[in-house]
Amino acid sequence: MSNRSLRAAIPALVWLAIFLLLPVVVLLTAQVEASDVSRVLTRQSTWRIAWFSLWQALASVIATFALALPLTWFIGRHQFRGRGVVRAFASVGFFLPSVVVAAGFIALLPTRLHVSLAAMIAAHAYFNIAVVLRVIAPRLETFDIGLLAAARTLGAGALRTFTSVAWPAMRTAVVSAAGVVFIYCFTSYAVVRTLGGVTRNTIESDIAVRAYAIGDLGGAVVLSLVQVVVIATVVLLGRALARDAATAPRRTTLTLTAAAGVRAIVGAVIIVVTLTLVAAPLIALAMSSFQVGDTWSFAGWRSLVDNGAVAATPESAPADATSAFALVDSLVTSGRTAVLAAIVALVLATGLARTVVRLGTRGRWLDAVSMVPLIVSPVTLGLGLVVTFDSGWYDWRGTWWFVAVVHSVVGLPLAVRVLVPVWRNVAPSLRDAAAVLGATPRQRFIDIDLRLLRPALVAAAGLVAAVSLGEFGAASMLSRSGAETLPVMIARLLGRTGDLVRTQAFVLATVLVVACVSALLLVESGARNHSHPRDNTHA
Amino acid sequence: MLDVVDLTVRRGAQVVVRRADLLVKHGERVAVHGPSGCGKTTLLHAIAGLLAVYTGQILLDGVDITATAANRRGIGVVFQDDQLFPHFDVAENVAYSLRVQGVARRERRRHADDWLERVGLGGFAQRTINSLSGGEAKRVALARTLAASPRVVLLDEPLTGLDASLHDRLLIDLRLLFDQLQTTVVLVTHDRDEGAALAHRATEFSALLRE
Repeated sequence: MSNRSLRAAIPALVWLAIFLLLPVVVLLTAQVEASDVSRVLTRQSTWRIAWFSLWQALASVIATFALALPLTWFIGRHQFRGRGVVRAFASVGFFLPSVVVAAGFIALLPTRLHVSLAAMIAAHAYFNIAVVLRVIAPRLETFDIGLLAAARTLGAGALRTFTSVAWPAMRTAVVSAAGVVFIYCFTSYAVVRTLGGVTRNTIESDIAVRAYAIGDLGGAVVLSLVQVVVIATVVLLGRALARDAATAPRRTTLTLTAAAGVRAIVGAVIIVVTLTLVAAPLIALAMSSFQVGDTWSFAGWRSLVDNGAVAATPESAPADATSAFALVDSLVTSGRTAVLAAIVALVLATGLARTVVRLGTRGRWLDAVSMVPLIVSPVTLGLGLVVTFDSGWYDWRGTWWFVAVVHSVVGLPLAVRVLVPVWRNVAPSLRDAAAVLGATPRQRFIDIDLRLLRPALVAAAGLVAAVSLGEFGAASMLSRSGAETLPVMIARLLGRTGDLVRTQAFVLATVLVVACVSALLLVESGARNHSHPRDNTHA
Repeated sequence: MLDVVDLTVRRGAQVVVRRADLLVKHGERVAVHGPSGCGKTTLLHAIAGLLAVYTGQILLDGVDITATAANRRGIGVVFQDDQLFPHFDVAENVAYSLRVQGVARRERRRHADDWLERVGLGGFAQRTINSLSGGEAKRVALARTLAASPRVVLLDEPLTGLDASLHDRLLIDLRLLFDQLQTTVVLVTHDRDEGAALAHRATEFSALLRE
């Protein structure tokens, strides 16, 4: 492996070493003693929390599949007008901040369900419809239905046909989707904290409680390790199951059928029901932003720009509400954090992805390294950063840009995942063609690689920005009062009493929905425009 | 004059071209025939600087260019599958060599229009690559290569995949163009008729090898 190949990846590796590896090492070496391990692992409450984390995640996986599979089947097996729009709309929950979804469920559900297990699991399912849809539907699209008929004509019954033909073909996709959903639900923080209440703690939320409320850093680190072990086990289990599926039928041609007759009616019902369920929390959120208590009012929106509106609202004591300055500050903080995180992650991911692609199969280890931020939960990462960068010239905890740094670490694997497959598809012969026409290596990189990657770069930047806008775990650890990000501010407002305060939370959540959806529409539109290349010159 | 001397090229551990010699005089067109997989394309890529030479020399007008980077050799290639840049329009493809030299856009466009006229594609400047037929794409690829004013042009199976009438028409046009420009050409093809129609002389790939 040449040093030159690795050079482009060095900034990202250094970044991960400083802002991911170092905090984790500091947590392990400086904060944990042997007694912490035995103390935490022998405590009954630890296992109760671990058990709850596990089964609520499993229940969430089941709920997600129940909600998403009908639409996944219909989209995966049928061609119809507006298919792309339905898929995009059904996926919207995944791109929304967890706090926003939690706020949406609070706005939607009756008061007695605001803090409940049902609300928690429903919110988890809402998030993860997109995972099931995006992972399983493409596999269904390319599954050759003729194989089922072939099995039947060879004497296989319905069950045998399913177990010997359909399931082996689908197993990898189903296991992957279930694994991803499990990990998301297992490490969910904002939803648990907002909808689970104080009595329902998962490992993730207990890490935060121990670190911040109790000051038990050693215990928090031990729990983080337990969590990493569980996640790594799930990942390895998923890989093992996927490997077994290597004997599955290969992907074949597109065999989508046009939706017609009874199938069209069934499909229409599935689409209407699923999309209604997806839209309901968002509509409830928007409507609730115009209500203070039971009264329709613009006070929540006015309080964004006018401190007088807070004082003039009779339903709520002014002291309960948050000032316009604080609300606008959180908007600005979130905006600039997202932009900076996207820029940093994009620059680092581009170098890393370039090296991964150049090294080919020898670059697998680097690809795996780039995924490491995914197995360290944001709460653990935030905790590590708090205890690492806590004094002297590197006491960066109070700076606004430090949250962006963390978000760039969290977003890096996603950006790499977007860029690498696209980059692998850029034919090396195009670079050869440019070379024989006189282009230097730098010109080839700019004119060929970067130009062909542009939609992927825009998509990666949008994705990191969306993640940053919604990230809660690390931001809640690092945000300082007066410079809180929107999700942190929303969670804080939802945790307080007072009608106007709650309305303000709904207003900010609605703003965040609009911001995230706009970012994603921009990404989509960037990708579409690129399919019609126009003259582009340096001159 | 292009002089390839005792050239050996490896792809990984495998020797693909072993001790090849080839001499092409200025303005001469040489066709190299051989079955698929014999190493014809590898030889062209090595001459163009796209593959490293294991042993041997490549001389262009007496100057050793064996270690010269592809972008500084002055050797043009028309690839078998054209390799047009899908994100540029036809004019920007044709004028790409001027673009990398920093030539102004207006001048590039004039140059591109001129070359497109010469290959029979006047008015195609703003077309997208995806909208071109196979024959049109081949002509654009040829114009792009010639617009760079290379000292030698390497053609890799230039007419493969075209239907019969298009193939014959393009063959005639290519011959006229090369006659007019006095271009030095190395053409590799498995089609002997194509080689005979386009080149001054033809040789078997195996005949280039010392062993």
